[in-house]
Amino acid sequence: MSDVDELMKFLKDRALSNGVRLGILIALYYVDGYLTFIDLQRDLEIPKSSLHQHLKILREEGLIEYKRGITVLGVRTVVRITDKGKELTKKYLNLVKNLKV
Amino acid sequence: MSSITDETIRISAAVARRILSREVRKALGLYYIIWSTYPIVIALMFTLTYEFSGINALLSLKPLNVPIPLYGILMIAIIVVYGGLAGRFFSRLSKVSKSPELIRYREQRQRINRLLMKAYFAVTIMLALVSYLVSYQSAAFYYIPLLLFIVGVLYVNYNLFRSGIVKVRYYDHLANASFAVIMIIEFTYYFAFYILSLIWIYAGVKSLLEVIEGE
Repeated sequence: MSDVDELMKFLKDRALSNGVRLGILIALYYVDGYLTFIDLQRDLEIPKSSLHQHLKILREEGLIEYKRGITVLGVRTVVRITDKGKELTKKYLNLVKNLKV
Repeated sequence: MSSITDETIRISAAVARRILSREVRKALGLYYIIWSTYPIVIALMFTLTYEFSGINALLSLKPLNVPIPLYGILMIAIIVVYGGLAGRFFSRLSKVSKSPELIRYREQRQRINRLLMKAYFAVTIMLALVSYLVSYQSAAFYYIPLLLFIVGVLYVNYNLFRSGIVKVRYYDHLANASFAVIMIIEFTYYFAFYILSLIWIYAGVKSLLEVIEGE
């Protein structure tokens, strides 16, 4: 299968077929720590319900996990990428990189 | 590739860039604020040793026959703490900047920013040379590491701004310009150290406000 076909197949996945979800996953991959729900909402300027929906789908696919946690600014909902999410994002970034080369 | 796939890739890159850019700006704000307290901590130590002879005597002790007095050990400890905090910032930055094609965006004023950063390098080196030649020849041992430190910090900042990870603001230039000048003239005009502190607090607060207000 060529890289293009693989990428097309990749982006048909329920979790990755949406640019916002994919973007969140890429950001979490590079941050390699956590992002808070409030930060994400502020960064993306989307309604709370939409963000919640995106995160729920990513969590159901096992790509991220989120829970209440203690941060410097107090108790917040923190979002982290899972190992499965990291692996998938790395694969996606490689495919995109190969296409650009 | 289909236009839908193209659109998904484009949106995902834009979303990731937006989140990462804010994260770096937030880290930069905290970095400015943390380092702004450095002159205050050093000044506090100087004041305590100057005003209270007891403390001065205590800090002049050389514990366990170590050739460096407690005063020196304390200075090293302070630098290690601040260096560690700066290290955390730069490690986060290096993770984020692993994919330059993802986070780079074209900024019209980037050329001006690059030129300004080069000007700071020139000013620092020139000031250090003048200070060295005029009155601090005996302090060369101190000037050379200091100069390396300043040029190192400016170089990291220069690369950060050149990468386009964050939009360069006027307060970034204010922080860098003040750092380039004040770190050198601090020996002659000690009060300038406090000005540096105030400027970095201002840059830190403005950076954090930028993240909160979403400019």
